Amino acid sequence: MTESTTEDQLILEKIREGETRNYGFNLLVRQYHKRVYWMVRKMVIDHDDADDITQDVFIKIHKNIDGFREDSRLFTWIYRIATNECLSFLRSKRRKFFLPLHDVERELGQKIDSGIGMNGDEIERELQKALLTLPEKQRLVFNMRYFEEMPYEDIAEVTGTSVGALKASHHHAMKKIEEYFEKEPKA
Amino acid sequence: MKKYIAMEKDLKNDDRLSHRNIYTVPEGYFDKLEASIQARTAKKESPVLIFLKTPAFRLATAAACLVAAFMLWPTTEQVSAEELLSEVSDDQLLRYIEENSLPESDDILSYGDYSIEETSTIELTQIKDSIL
Repeated sequence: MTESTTEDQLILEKIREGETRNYGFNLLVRQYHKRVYWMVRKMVIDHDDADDITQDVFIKIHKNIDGFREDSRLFTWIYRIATNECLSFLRSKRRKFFLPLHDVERELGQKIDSGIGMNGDEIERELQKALLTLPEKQRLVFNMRYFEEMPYEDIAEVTGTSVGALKASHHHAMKKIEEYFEKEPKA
Repeated sequence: MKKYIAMEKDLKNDDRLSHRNIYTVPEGYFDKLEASIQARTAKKESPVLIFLKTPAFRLATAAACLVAAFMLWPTTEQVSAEELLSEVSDDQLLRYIEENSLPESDDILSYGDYSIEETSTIELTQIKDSIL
């Protein structure tokens, strides 16, 4: 993900210019809206929820961009905001309906079973359901590593976790998915 | 399902489990998403607010504050009229009154012998004479 650094620099310069602030922010949206949406969508499954969260993520970015001091890369900063929004959405969903983790999983699993807004085959959908059995942070890491093929170093920057801890967490996630398929063989 | 263990090592060669994103979005969704984010952020920030954030405006505001502070800063101690008068002795005050030859109270009272009607008909020369 380091290849976008020059583009990010240009975006930040435009935003900080004042006169080109809106233009710079529009460039940022254009550059990242799809990636943020897909990351969020894989976490919350539902399209409408993902749409709301993605918009909120960019509103937050817009509000806080002046405070971005480049201690991290723009891309990881954006991803960090998006992951926080996802996790707090799932937490509030549980609190709102007094649902234990298991019931949130079931609700999301039903959305996958409905097949609405997805075109994968049975095994691909089953993998998505297997991922729902993981703790949310582990699922987040799995998605970034498996679907987006992000380097561990980048994921570490996003999650604020050490690379070693991430590798261990990812290994546990793989084991759990294997166990899921052993219990419920689908293919 | 042993191949799930091998996913990390050989993801590209796994022909059953693709890294494919299975989720879909309505047609034209991303264009709409981009537009609605831009509309929401543009609403939050009017052109005036953008101008207020420019470095030129901030610099001008800081300079104006400095000038105002310089102009309004009290350079000498403010002293009231009462305080000033209290420092003047009675002798000095009497001498001042004498030197400035204010009219005697009898003179002032003599003007009162005229009624309002008469006063209006008094010639200017008469007034001059009585004063001199």
